[in-house]
Amino acid sequence: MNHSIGLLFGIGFLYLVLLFLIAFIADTGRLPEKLIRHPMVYVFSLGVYATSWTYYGSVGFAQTQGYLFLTIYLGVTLAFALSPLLLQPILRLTQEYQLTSLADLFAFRYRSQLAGILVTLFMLLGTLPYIALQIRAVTDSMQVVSQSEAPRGLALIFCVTLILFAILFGARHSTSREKHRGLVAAIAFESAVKLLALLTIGVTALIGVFGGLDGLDQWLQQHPEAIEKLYQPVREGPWATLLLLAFAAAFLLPRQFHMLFTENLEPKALRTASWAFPLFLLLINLPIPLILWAGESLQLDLHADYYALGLSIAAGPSWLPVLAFIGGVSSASAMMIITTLALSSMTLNHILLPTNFPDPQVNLYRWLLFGRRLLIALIVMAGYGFYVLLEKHEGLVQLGLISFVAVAQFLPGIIGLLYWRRANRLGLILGLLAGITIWSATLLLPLLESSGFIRTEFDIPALRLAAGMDQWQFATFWSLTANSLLFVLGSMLGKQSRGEQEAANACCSESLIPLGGMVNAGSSAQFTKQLSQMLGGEAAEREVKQALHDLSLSPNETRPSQLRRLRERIERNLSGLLGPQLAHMIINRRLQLDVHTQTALADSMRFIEDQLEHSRSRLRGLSADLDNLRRYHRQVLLDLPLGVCTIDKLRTVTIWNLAMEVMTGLRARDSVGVPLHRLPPPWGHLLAGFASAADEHIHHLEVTHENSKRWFNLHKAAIPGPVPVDHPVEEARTSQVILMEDLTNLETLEAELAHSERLASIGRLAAGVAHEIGNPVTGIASLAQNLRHEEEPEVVRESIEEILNQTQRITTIVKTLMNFSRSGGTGTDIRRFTVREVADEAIRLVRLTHHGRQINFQNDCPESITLEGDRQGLSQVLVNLLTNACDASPADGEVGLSASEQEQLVVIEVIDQGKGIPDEDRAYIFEPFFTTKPPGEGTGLGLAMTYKIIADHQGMISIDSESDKGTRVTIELPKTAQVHNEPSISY
Amino acid sequence: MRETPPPERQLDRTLALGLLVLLLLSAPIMIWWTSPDSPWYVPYLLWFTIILFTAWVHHRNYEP
Repeated sequence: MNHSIGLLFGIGFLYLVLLFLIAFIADTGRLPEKLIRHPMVYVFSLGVYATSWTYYGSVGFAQTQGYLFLTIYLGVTLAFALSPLLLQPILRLTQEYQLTSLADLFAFRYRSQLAGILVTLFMLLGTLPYIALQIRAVTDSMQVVSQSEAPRGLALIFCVTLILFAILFGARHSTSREKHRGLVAAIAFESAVKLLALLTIGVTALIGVFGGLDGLDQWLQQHPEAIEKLYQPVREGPWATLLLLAFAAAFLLPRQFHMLFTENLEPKALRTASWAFPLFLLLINLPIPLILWAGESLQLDLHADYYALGLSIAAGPSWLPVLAFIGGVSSASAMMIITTLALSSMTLNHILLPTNFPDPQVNLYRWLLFGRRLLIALIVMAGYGFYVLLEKHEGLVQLGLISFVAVAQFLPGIIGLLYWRRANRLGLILGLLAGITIWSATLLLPLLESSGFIRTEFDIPALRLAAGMDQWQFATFWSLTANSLLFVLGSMLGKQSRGEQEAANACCSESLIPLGGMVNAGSSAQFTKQLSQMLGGEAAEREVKQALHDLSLSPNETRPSQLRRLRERIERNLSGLLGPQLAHMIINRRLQLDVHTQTALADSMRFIEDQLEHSRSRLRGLSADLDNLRRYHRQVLLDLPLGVCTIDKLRTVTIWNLAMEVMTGLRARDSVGVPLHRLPPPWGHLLAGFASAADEHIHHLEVTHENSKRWFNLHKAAIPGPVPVDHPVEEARTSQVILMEDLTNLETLEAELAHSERLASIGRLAAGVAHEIGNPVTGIASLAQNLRHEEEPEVVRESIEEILNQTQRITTIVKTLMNFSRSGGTGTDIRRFTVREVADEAIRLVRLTHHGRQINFQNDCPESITLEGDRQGLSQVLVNLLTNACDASPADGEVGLSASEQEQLVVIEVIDQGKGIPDEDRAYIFEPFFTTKPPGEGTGLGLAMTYKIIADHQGMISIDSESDKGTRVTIELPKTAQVHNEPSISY
Repeated sequence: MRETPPPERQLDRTLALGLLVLLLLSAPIMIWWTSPDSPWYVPYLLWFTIILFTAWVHHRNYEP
């Protein structure tokens, strides 16, 4: 079958259209999310590592260097085996801080724009030959399959198509922080295609050329040198050097970094990839020796790089060359697309944006999108330029290895980033400059010289020979040695900035350093306003909204600690948009921090607790035990049935337990971190006032909230610790714990008991009441009967007067009873009244009882003595005391009531000559439900209520009793109302 | 059901795995598997063994 250039071009074009379709279907959600997030899709997408170099070049490499070609994949296997130490920490950093490229990662860790620029430039320089290699592989393969010269324009068309694809599916979003599902799906598909193609060619070699395994064995027995040619270079060649280069390339090459970290949709997939990706590489390399031997067996008149194509033409079915060609296009296009995307992102963030930041009037997102797309086109075209300029002296592998040595220069930096806190920007920059210089001198310049592009005076090959090393060993050894030495020296001699120290802590370990300082802007609206001066209104609003959404915060958020978190989040989001260094600069400039404000203890506590909860690795040993103890204590505090609220020096709430939530209706997450006075009324005013007050206790505080009355006891104490290491001791010393005790239920119960006690008293008065009302009623009835026959006006008038007197007597009794029995708590009706009046009323009530009628009462209270307080409460006190006095007195006994004034006090005495209180009962008489009366005659609440009412008035009660001589009860009450020691608070 | 191992054990296993891979790919062992009598597929077998070890270690590290 004749495969013309036109046909191959058409097939290649159709294949790219198929890729467009796959990417489109995945991007528009037509492919199930579960499939796209499947670890195997991720593994296949990592197959972008296998480029034309693997697909075509490995055979040529195996021919000249034997099994050394396997080092390029064994190095990757080693890197993936160490994934928990190497890849997973980088994945965590890139996802947590929205870092989209190696340049971002370095700029973030070393807080240096120069580091970002150097990495970007070096990546560009090191990768352009690699892109040229891919273009050359495609045009060469077309030439091999069609057996005719491929026109130069074809490479250009291939490049333009890839630019279109990369723009449409790799730069759909203005920010690199967005994932490109379509792109991942398409790249995974490409990897599957090239694996299938190579395996098919391998099977063709085995069966079509050797006739099966037996035939292969036979051929190998006839050609023992074939196996020896594979093993010999391993024993003699730069095995370790290539292994090291591949180890670095596994995650530092721009395309690998992009697919491993930036486009990672599911972090857990990396675990599967740690073994599945090396397995993919093993499978794709398995046919390489077979293809090489089949090519040699068939004596193909081709460069070994293209044996896969020649073999498929010579020994395969007619469709195999097309499949082989498509496999090659897959390898080249996937590499070019992903590399270009990664490089465009780096160039945009580290070269274009810092030098040419758009005006705030310009739509930032559109500008970024346009910039990314322009850069994609420029980078692919630069690769094309390299392809045109470079002579074809170098094999495919040579061009690839030049790039590998280039990216290996980032190894010291990345190891320092992950594991050496002291590493700094000076060391990184010095090391990189040295590495780049040696790389350029030993690899790039000879490449350009051999292409006739430049001429130099250096005789690098002579130096190499003198050192007894080959090209790769020489370049790798000297560049990495100089790089590492200067990196270490620079880091030891240079000083880290504060920002660098913070970044080092974030990268190296699970540091527990909270966010410092407070943001000057006081609300999210002010954030937007500040940021709009650099980002423009639309972008500022969108970024602030996005960060609020990420943190589940309200746009009305004003808590300083939350605004500090919001600032941090915006910086991270902007990092994904503009790169870490620019984001850091914008945030520092527009959202300034008041660094002198100490971090609130609440923030430190929350930060440390968050860190402990989401610790990168779980705690172990003593730390784990301490954490368990911490959790236990915290749970005890949270579940305490008493309201617990702690505040730091800045009067910011640090702990707000469940009981506080129930009592106040304020959730802990809305209260912690808020300055006490900013809590909603009435709690803010109440608690802030108490925290500042000199008193350490407030009893029986009445609070009106949402139209209901509540009563609380408040207590507070200073807490001397615990103190975080970076906090001044004074802060913790002035922290406080406030306890809040809800008395509302107790108060309600007491009110109900008091009411019950009054009703019980009324029940006991019932007979007396009937008697007292019955007498006047009988009198009224007699008078009314007499009036029927009476005609004398004077007698009628007298009778009517008498009837009115009798009804007045009834009214007084009823009114007294009603006053007494009225429901309602004590202390609810404060007014001034005459003591004598209340005493008369109490005597009238007590006289209604059976005992009361037999007692002579003497009211000696002067008319002039008045008292401010709860009239009903005092009435109940006197009724209780007089009833007890009556019960203790013999028939016809005397009970006296007197009152006097002593400065600010009114002293009331109730004296009887009864049997007195036995000594053994005296200690219990004020206890509720204690009674000496027979069952049914007393509730045991009378004196307890009396005590409570007097205590509420800030008064005192004392009892002086002598057996068989009588009892004197003395009450001392303030003249003015002091029912509570604080005014009640109502809202 | 087996519990997920503590992190230090996960790191220990990873380090042990890395050392094993380095050992297999280092000079003393290479002399054995690159001898002229070795069949052509020995490097692949060695590679496959490393992959199996990696899968086993990662399975032990993460699967509860």
